[in-house]
Amino acid sequence: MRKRQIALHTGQTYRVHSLGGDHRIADRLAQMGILPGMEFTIVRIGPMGNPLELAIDGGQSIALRNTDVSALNCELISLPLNAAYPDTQLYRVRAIHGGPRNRQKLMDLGLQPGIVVRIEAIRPYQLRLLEEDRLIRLGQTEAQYLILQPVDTHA
Amino acid sequence: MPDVTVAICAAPNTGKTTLFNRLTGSNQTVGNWPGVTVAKKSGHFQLDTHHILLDDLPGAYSLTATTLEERVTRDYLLNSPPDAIINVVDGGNLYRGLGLTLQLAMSGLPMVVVVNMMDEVRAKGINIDFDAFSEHLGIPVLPLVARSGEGLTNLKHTLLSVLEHETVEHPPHISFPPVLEEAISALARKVEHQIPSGSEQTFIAIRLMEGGESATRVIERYPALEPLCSEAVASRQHVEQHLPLDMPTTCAQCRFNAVRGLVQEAVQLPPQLPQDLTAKLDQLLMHRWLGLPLFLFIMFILFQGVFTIGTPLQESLAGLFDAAGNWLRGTSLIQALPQLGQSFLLDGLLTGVGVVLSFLPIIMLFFLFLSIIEDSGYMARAAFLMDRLMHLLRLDGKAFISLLLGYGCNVPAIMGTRILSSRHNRLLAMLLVPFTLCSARLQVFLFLSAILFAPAVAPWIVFGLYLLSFFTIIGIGLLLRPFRFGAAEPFIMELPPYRVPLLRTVMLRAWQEIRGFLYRAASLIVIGVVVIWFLTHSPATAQPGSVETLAGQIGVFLAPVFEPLGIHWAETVALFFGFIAKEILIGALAVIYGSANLAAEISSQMSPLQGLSFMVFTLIYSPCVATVAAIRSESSSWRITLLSIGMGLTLAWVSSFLVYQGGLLLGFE
Repeated sequence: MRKRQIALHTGQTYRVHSLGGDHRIADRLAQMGILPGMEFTIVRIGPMGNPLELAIDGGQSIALRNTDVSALNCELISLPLNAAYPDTQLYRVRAIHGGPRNRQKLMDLGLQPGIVVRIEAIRPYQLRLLEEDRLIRLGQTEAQYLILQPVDTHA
Repeated sequence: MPDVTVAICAAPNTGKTTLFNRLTGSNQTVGNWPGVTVAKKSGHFQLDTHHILLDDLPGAYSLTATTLEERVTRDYLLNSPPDAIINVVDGGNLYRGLGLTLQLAMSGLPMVVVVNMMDEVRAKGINIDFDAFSEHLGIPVLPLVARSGEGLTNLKHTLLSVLEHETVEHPPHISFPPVLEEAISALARKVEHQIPSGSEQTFIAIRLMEGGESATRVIERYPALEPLCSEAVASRQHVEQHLPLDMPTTCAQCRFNAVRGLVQEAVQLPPQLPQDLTAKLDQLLMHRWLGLPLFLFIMFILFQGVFTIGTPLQESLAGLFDAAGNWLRGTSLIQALPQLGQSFLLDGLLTGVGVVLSFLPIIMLFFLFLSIIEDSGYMARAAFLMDRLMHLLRLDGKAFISLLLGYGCNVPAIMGTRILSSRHNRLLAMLLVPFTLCSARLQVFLFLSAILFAPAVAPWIVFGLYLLSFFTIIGIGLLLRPFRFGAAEPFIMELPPYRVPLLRTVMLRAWQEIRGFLYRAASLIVIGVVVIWFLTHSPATAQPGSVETLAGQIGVFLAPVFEPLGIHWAETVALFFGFIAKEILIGALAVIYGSANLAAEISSQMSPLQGLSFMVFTLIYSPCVATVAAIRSESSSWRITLLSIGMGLTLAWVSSFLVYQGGLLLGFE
């Protein structure tokens, strides 16, 4: 499995592969309904960076500490643009959140779900649409609504 | 000789031991499980014509054993299967318990499931449909309140019919992924071939496929199955090639799905606010920057609510009680008693009862507000917001609420530690709460600082004492950081949707807390007050609180200890009185000094520095007898109670010593 070092950030979705080594934590997680194969999204990060609120399948919300989440063996499935860094990694547009006006604006820029992009710069954000080889710029607000999914180039 | 064996099997903290005690009464023996240091409790009771041996199995979350307790439970069920199982689940936490229930059900042993703590379940407004539950599970499911014994007769009745095979059980079928399903049933058929009896082939097949110790235990019981072992391992390897996850995890997942279905069928939760409203409220209440100030504001309202309503109630109750005491003093019945008897009844016993009563309004209000905060779902949010800070002291966010409420009154604050999630957190919070500057101590400080210090300085003295209290708590918290009190649990907390608290639930909670306080702590408080009365009033010939009394003599005896703190024997005796309730300190000083003008007398007896040292001591030394009683009843440990008292006294002495001697060095008097 590909492991990417991206800091925990609001809006990221992960899939759990295994519950980590500490069986007390693994037991509790299993009791709360967090099992391998499940996905969770980081809803919010507490004041001073801890704890994290996670939304799990079925709409349940749970709070966990930073260290316990990091100990889980999980894979990043999607993240908002404002949590990503510029590198060679390619991303596919997974969804556009926010209101209809915001969605329309991003769609008009050519950001339909499924489009593959590369992040060239952040703050302000510059995305290269690979198919058209076109560079577009986005602001901070738009960046948090654009949900990206890492594309596995080896596959 | 018992002719039937029944085992109680449950996850930890489900009240199974309470049920065990209910069923067996005093007919118990405690031993050890073979080879391990896990206590084995057995007892027996009579059920109709059966003489039943009841084994209390150690708490287990699952039979896929990870802990020592789980291994003991699994081995017991494999090696010496009982005639029936009573499976206890916590009604407030069905998810947690039902995974085990399904595993047990697959063993094919006759079984009864009891849903315990139904009083709490009902109080939360949760409705469980037991008929639907029993039908879906294929096993009788019964409500129970082990604490009160409600539902016990029904349990015995059902157990009897299960034992006599009048009730036919159909354990549920859990659907596994097809590959696994086929592998298990293929193996189960071969198991059936070797040992035809019973309906437990699937159960045994799964244990064989788990391999390791599980399989070894099966072989010990059924040596005929030995040849199947390698086949089971191969089968598991084959299956796991086709599954995304390993076998135990897949099984857990399937069980959990089944449990979720069961709970959805049988449990009706109280109406909750719509999902998006919860999200909107959270956006505000859990906001990165606004969340904490809003939380502090809500706590401020709670604090004000409890004490602006509570304190006048407390005072009027005390007034009524004084009036009753005075009336009693005048009655001919009391008059007929000798002086000592009168004093015992009125100053000892009646004062003790008065102290107990004076806490009732505050406890009631506190729990009214607390259960509103808890039931609405806000408590979990508060814990979320405060967690980072409290984690520095190895506590979680909820502990902040206990500590904060200590600044009003230590007694409900300590009772409130019950909301904390692990024993470690509860005990640690209990040890920290007594260092909060409660309103009773504040009265003493306001009075003394006004007498001893200039009006411009006095508020700063009180403020300084508040700071001292904060820093003492942080200091003690850091000091106790390396210690573990009981098992710690990782911080994993559900953030439930917001709900509107039910009035009935909130009232019920307040009433239960008051009853609990009267039941558990009241007698200890009265005893404490009577002991202090005895020390300060005997021998009978001496003036109460004077140097001739036992307390006075102890005060004189302890004088060398208190001299370096600038505290005279008279004030030492007052500190004894302060143990009844801190606000009595001032009245006690008046009695001991025997002076009409207390303020003048105090300022002539104490220098400002001595007064400060006295106040520091009062802040930190053991809180009142009611707090000690609360600590004792909540921790159910004398060691923790004594640790709390010892720590308070030691730290009080050291702090006062530093203040007084430091002050002397700086040239104060």
